[in-house]
Amino acid sequence: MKTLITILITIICFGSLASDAKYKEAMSKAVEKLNHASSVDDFMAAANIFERISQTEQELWLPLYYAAQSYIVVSFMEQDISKKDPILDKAQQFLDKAFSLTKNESELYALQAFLYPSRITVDPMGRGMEYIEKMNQAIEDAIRLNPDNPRSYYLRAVTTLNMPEEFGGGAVAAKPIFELAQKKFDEFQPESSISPNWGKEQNYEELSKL
Amino acid sequence: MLEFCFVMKTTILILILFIPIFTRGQIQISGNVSSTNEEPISGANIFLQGTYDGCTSDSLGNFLFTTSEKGNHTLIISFIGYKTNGIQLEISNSDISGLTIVLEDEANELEEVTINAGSFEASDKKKSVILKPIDIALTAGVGGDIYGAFGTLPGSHVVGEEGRLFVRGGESYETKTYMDGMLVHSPYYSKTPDLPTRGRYSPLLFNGMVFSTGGYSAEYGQALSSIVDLKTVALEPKDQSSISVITVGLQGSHSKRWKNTSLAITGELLHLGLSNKIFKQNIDWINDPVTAGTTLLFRHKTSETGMVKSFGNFNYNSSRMLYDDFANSTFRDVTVSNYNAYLNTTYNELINKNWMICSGIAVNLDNEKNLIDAQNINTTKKNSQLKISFTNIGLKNLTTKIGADYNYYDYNQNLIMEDDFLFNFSNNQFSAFVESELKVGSKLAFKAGLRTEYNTFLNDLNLMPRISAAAKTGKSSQISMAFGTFRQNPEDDYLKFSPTLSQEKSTHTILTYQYKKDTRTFRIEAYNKNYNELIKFKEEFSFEPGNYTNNGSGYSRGFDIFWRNQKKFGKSDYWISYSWNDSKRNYRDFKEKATPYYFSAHNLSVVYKKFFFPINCFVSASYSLTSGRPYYNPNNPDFMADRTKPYNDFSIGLTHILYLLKKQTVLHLVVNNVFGFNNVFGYTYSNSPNDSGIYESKPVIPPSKRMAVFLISIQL
Repeated sequence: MKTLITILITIICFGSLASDAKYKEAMSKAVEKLNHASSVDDFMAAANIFERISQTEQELWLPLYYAAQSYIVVSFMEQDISKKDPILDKAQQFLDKAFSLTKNESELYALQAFLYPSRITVDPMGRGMEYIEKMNQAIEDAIRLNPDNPRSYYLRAVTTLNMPEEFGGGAVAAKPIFELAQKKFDEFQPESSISPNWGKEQNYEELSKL
Repeated sequence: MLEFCFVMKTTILILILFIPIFTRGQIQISGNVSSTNEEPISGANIFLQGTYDGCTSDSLGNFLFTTSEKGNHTLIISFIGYKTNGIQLEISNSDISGLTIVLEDEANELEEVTINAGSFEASDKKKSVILKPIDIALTAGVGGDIYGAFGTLPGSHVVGEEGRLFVRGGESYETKTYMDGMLVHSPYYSKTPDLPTRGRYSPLLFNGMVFSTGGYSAEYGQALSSIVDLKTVALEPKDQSSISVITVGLQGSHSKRWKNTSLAITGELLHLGLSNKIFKQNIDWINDPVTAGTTLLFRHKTSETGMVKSFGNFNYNSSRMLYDDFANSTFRDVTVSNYNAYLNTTYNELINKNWMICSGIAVNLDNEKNLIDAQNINTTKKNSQLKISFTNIGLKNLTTKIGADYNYYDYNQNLIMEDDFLFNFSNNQFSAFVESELKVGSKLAFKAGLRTEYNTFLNDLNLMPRISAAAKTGKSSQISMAFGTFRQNPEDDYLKFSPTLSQEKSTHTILTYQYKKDTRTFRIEAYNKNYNELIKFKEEFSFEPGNYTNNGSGYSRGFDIFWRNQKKFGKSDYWISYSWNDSKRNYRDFKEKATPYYFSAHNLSVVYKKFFFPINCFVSASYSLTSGRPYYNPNNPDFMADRTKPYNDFSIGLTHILYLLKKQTVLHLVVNNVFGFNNVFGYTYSNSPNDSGIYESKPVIPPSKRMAVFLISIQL
């Protein structure tokens, strides 16, 4: 009897291990796809894969994170401003769901900070004030929750770069932040092969232009 | 042996458990996704619910994926902007192909027909609107004035020396302002002779505005030409304060937010002294204009669907100047001062799933003192309003609103000259309205309304029917029409002498075509307006009090064109509006049918906006061109036959957002009439001819050629 129970437990564990392996494999493939995406179609396809995974793995925030990220990138690439908000609404839905699963994930706040500037592009004058403030708040939260998350610094550096020099922005002010971000990127060890690990190249590219 | 048996059994058990894995065969599922109008949808997500199996549709809407699942499954198809579709599939050993999936557009406001004849709406919430409140706040050349901004929209005439809205050949008093559905009795600051006034309320207090140039709902009364309906903001988002320093004064605000309640207070103190020194004035100011005011906004959410809103505004303005009374060849010492208090409270709630209640109370107290040399005119107006309406939303395609309102008005004027004169009257106005809107599918809508008003002072009862309809003519276009009767009590200056007058009347017929797709909006509207029962003096040029009748009449017809293109981000956003109007009336002291002084046949306005992201700077420019306006020249035997030269204005505004000491700061600069066009609004003629028998004239011109205002606002 005892053996039976042991075997049953083993089987159950093995089964869940199998599904975990399936999740890891699917995620790895999808992350790979996202990393190599270059067109709107590529990003949409990646978003759809993450959405499918998130539908099954209801307790995990990572598929939601990547689905949101893909949609945010699509929103930046979309040229028709009237189409941006529906895309961002979709991204925000994934983010909100992810936040409901975990409250203290720095990466989610960093991604939230990445979403706001796209909202601003729809209506800079009407939304600028509100969303710049929200974005700064999100960056601060991301840094507070994990001071080693390099993406927070990268986003802060980009914002600073876009602000005029006479008001504390510009290339000179942004450079040390990009450098700090670069240092954080160099030190950064993702938790796993499928954990968020983007921004290093973009940061390097921006830094090399300064 | 027993043990062996056991091991065998478990091995079999394990084998049985794993059999499904080993026997899974892969099958293909394929098909096509398109929209209801048969366009392929690319990028749609197609997957079996609860599995990872699925794919994305290609540019032709085709999809194909493999799965090892068996049995009954739901295939989910989703795409942004479309309703998610789910179909049941029974998966056996053979491939499933040729699935045809049609996704339905998510019903959005843009697609649905809306009755919009005559009206322009600005809103933060609705997608179908043409303007946002911020467009109004930041349009160059209008100085953050709601009425100035509506002046750039088609249908309004530029009347530079007035500053009020003149709509489609109508006088300024024919436009009424409402706030959350309640009448605002004195929306403008008091006016000094020949100088423009402006609205009392900042556009930033509102998140929705409707400017209707005709054919409006039966809910609105007492306006012959136009209404402006302002919707105040809901709960303040958070605790915040701001302070602004302007070249003409100071402004500050503070708001406090609790869970379901918020309170905001704003205050301003404006003094034109400095500005009047910088920009050379054509006016001899004795005391520069001063304004002091405060606004209180209280909001409380009574439930998920209910809200109590209170709005209170108190302000004082005053100025004193030496007025060149050219007509009488003398200078007069004119002091104008005004106190105004306006309060309203509204309560809206969804009573049950069928009925919604909107109710409100408003009080306005206005006191104006005009001191002209030794004459003292002291005018007090008291107004209170109670309003209640019920809307039935229980039926799918039919919405009905029924309501009633009561208005009390008391007018009291004390004229102190050599003798004292007292003019006063009070009126109780009872009105009721009912209006139903029927939607036939998403392509056709009809609205019919009836308003009735009874005024105790005039002792007349009137009925005003109004109908409107709209039909979609394509995916992005629609036509809309409106017809209705509108009535308004004569102005106080006539009523105070004559209780026997009756309401003035107008009828509107409007036809509109609108095309709105993506970032572009095109709109053309033709209208005809007839005036009857306007106030007319019994004798020509006789201002003798009480000598009034309702025999005046007139017409106004024309068309308006509006084009807006909000281009892709970083590029430009602009709108062009053009209005053509033809109107004549025989009213007041007119000896024959003629075009009134505020009329202009052509009004063109171009507003251009662009955000320069690298410098966080927003640039707005506006140009307006108005054809010559008529004026009365006693030297010309033809009445009102002379025209001024055209009016030109080019104004720019710059807005820059930055962080000063980590505080969000806005710098805003507006320059009016950058090129310094010499504009003339009209001419004043001397009452008596000179020695050679000619009446001499003096042009009515703006107080200064150019004007600039600089503002710095810090969020604390």
